[in-house]
Amino acid sequence: MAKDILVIAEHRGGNLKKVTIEAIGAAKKLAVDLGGEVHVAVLGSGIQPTAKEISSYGVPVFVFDDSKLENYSYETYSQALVPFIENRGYKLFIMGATPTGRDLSATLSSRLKAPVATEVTGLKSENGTIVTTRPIFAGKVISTFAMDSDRAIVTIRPNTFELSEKADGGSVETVPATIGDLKAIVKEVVQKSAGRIELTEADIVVSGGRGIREQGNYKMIEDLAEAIGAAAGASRAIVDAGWVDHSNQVGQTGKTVSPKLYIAVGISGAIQHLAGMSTSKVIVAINTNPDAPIFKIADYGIVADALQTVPLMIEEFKKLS
Amino acid sequence: MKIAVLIKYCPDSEAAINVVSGKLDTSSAKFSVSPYDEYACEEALKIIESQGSGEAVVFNVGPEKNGKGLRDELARGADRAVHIVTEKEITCPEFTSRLLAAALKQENPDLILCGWKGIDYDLGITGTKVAEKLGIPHVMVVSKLTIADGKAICTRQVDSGDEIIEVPLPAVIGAQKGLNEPRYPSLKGIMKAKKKPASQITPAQLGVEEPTGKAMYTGFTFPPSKSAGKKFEGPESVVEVVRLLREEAKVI
Ligand SMILES: Cc1cc2nc3c(=O)[nH]c(=O)nc-3n(C[C@H](O)[C@H](O)[C@H](O)COP(=O)(O)OP(=O)(O)OC[C@H]3O[C@@H](n4cnc5c(N)ncnc54)[C@H](O)[C@@H]3O)c2cc1C
Ligand SMILES: Nc1ncnc2c1ncn2[C@@H]1O[C@H](COP(=O)(O)O)[C@@H](O)[C@H]1O
Repeated sequence: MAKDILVIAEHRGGNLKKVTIEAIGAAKKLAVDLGGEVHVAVLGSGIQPTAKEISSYGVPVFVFDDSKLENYSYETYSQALVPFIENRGYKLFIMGATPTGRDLSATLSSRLKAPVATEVTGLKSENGTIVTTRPIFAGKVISTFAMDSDRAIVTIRPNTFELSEKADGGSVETVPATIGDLKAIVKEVVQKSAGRIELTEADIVVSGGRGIREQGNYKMIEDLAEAIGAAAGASRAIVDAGWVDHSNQVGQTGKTVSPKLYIAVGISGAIQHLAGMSTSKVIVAINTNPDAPIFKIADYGIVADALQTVPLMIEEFKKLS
Repeated sequence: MKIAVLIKYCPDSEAAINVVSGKLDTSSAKFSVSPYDEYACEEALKIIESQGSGEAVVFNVGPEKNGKGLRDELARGADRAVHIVTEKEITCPEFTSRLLAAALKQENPDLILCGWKGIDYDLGITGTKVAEKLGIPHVMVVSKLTIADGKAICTRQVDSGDEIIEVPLPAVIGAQKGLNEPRYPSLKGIMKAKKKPASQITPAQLGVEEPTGKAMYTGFTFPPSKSAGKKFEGPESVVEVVRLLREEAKVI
């Protein structure tokens, strides 16, 4: 029986995603119980430096370097990975619960005939059974999902597992990839948030809601985010109002974030919003209504007008740096 | 053009979900069509309207009560419903996708629209699995779709931006928020829906068997309840809060 774990790395243009290092961390812990090793696969074009970087976590890295792998596509990735996996045999596959990770996990689940657990926040092994914890129904319920199979796939929620420590003993091996004809063609990649901190990976997230009163005041949220090195998010109310792009939306029909610190400004705390941020470690809420539901889950609640409070907060944050 | 729309009937996003001795209890929850599937259905209607002809067929796998969800989409404007009736809700995406793929094979649609994920179990797996079983391409998390010359041009939302992806039809396309604004069913639509064709099939009729794998939910609990935090009043209290964030919570 296979015991090894394969982490599938994610990067954008060679920049490694934090969730990959978290996946390596989670895999290393689990490998102790499974009695196997952790390997990492990274796919892309001109990504030897990225492979080298991954190997600094003390793991063997298998790099698929081909111009056809420049952009992620489930077809190219699975054409490269499936034969490799079939040759070596792995017990468990771990990737980030990002749009890419979810897409790949679903494809691999079909092609490897392996069950998959998505958006996992807890991971362990019980006598070879992979036991996962997953929030479901907008985080209202926590489920335990167990996979007692030869192979299993897991996508982990970014920011919920500890980063792997660096270690000696890593290595890099190039694996040739044979990529055949493709049906889906990536025509163009439009970078929107170049240079910005990605919401799902940010340590701190500052989100604004309808309580900021008007579109122009979202600048205040962005300034607050900048002052503390955070990513800026939003409630659906202000996304639907057209004040900010949907890619900023946090919640059930937006992104799921799990930062160290979440600051909700003028957000009531509807269940659908909480679905996207309730696993944040520390929550601060600023709201004029002392009975707003957000205060039920806030560690630090400030009953005050956002327009007066945020500028003061920016000042305080600036003093820290 | 014949467009299939896959819809999931889920507890409403505000519904209370109960856990009774480690088991889920959704009996008191109001159910509705998963929001992403509403975008999928709206897109099918829009494509058919812009082309001047076509048929939108809505599909669901689930217990008898899910017929209501299919009716809701017929009321919005879909033409026909196919209900694969199971005894209970199926939580295994492999099984669901086998059933859907089998039913879709009989229909041969030109395009299959689904939600990029259901809001119940937060999976985002079924659409891709259906495509794999049918041997056709898929694009998930699509916020803009153009159909032309037997191709679909999709804008796929990823973390750092958008990808423009072109696929030949038939394909499975998973709707993301932003794709469109779903219409409300009109009174006339609701009346008409009652007469629209809705067929029921069983897994046995489709010749589909339940997967034998041992992957399953083994328990359900409520998330740990948070103890009430500290509350402050007035803008000037940020000074204290920022101090606590640094010294007590140690997050900045
Ligand atoms: C199927 C479905 C999916 C959904 N998905 C999402 C989702 O993904 N994300 C999401 O966020 N929502 C989602 N929603 C919407 C959600 O139900 C709420 O409507 C939304 O979160 C409300 O946004 P808000 O808190 O900004 O606005 P409101 O609810 O209007 O709250 C504004 C808050 O600001 C406070 N306020 C007013 N003035 C000030 C001031 N000057 N200073 C400080 N505070 C002030 C008010 O007291 C109030 O609490 C979804 C809804 C449905 C039905
Ligand atoms: N039981 C079902 N019946 C019909 N369509 C479904 C069913 N389950 C999932 N789907 C479709 O697949 C999408 C993704 O679902 P999921 O993989 O459960 O997150 C949904 O948005 C639906 O379009």
